[in-house]
Amino acid sequence: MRDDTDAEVITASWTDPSVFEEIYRRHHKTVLAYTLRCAGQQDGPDVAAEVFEEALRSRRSYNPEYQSARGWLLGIAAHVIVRYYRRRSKLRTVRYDEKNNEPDGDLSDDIATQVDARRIVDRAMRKLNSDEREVVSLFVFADLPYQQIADSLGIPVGTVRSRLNRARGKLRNFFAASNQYIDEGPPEDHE
Amino acid sequence: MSSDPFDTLRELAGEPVPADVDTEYVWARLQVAIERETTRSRRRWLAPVAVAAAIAVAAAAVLLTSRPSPAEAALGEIAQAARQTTPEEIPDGSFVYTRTDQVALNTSEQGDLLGLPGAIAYLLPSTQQTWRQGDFEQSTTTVGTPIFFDPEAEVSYYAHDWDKADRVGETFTEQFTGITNELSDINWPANPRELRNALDDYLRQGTINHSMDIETIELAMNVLHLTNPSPELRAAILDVIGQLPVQLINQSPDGSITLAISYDHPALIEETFTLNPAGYLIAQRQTYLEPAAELGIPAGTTVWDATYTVPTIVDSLDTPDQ
Repeated sequence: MRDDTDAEVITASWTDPSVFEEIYRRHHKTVLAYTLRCAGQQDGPDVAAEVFEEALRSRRSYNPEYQSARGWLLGIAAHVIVRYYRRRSKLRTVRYDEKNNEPDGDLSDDIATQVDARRIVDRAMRKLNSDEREVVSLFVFADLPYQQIADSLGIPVGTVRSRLNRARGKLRNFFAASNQYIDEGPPEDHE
Repeated sequence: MSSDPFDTLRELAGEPVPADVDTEYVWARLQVAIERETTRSRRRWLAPVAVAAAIAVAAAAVLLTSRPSPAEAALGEIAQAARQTTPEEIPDGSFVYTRTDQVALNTSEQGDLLGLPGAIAYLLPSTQQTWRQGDFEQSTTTVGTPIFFDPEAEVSYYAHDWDKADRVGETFTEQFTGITNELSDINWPANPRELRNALDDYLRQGTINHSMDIETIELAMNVLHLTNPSPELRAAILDVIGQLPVQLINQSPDGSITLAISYDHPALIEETFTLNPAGYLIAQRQTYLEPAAELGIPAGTTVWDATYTVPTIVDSLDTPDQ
């Protein structure tokens, strides 16, 4: 099993789901790194768990032409992340992040800084529609090139480019508004 | 901050390092999923029997459901009233104002940061007023005093200044432009059957956490509450919800109704929705029917209790008279 390709492992897991553990061993670091960056240190592990659960359920949809499951898993992860931001939009709960246990320094300031950063990331991502969130999360948080994003999501490269362009404009507006307009009057021209 | 917004996002997200406990948690969840999947595979040979049984149950259900359920009848009446209303015009320069009063559960696995042995959970009250105009939004939020399940957690919370991170006792105003709402961007059909299909299609793009019926109810309520739908669409949403397994648990003399659903996530939760006679969502509540031992939350605790005002059109960013 150790020498088998991801495609062979996933096919074997059709009849023996426990074989899927090998996919976890090979890719959990990539998936966790991505979900932690997208969803923060508290929610990231939950999102990563959802990704592997979803991948296990949908393992029969894996295209065995792709030898590595990395792109497939990140594609699933991007869908789960969209879902995650949708839930957050609804609940608007405040959660805390942790940057490992650091005994030195002012812990409360550190937490506050991270909470603020996480809030800004959340709000920024909520300014995008679900299609844009998928490509942005893979481009920004998984550092995938355009072609791999296209493969992961099953869309043309041109669509990846156009969604990223659109998202870049929206995020630029968002960051500009966050810096300039807080506690001031509304901008005269909202267009 | 960088001038490229993508770089800014990268900087803000940082490079979090997965802790061992994170890896173990994901591994444990996968083990449970694999066990469930293995059991399901073993049961697959029973599928033909199950199909025959399902057909028999469905036939019985058709007989039983030829009469509308109390929930369907009540929603049908409200849908009828919603259809009769005149579409609301929003004059140029006006804002759509809403106010939400809620008490919501906050949780953090990082209780150890406070010197606590496990996770921390508390309820945080807040009031949020929102003014929207096109893609512009202003919100004013007032955060109340948190309610704890464990006195020790409360002491540690304040000792470590987490109240400052939550902005407890503060009122703050934020303004944003470029606001998008993906649910509003979709052209939802006003025919109930087509709407049901469109809701199902939308859900299939993401992960399904609960049964499809529960997910559809949640999504339909979100479309109802978050998109300010036309009278026809509002009525269609109510018709769709009426076809789903919601229970009518209260009908007030003023014509408002309260519906309930229940689901596991991970403990058994009851969620209720209150609609006014015009079909606006005016309250929402989630209650744990089972204890969440790891968070110290007893059964019967309401973990989310929100009331919403009906959207009103105002001509300034002042708080309107209630």
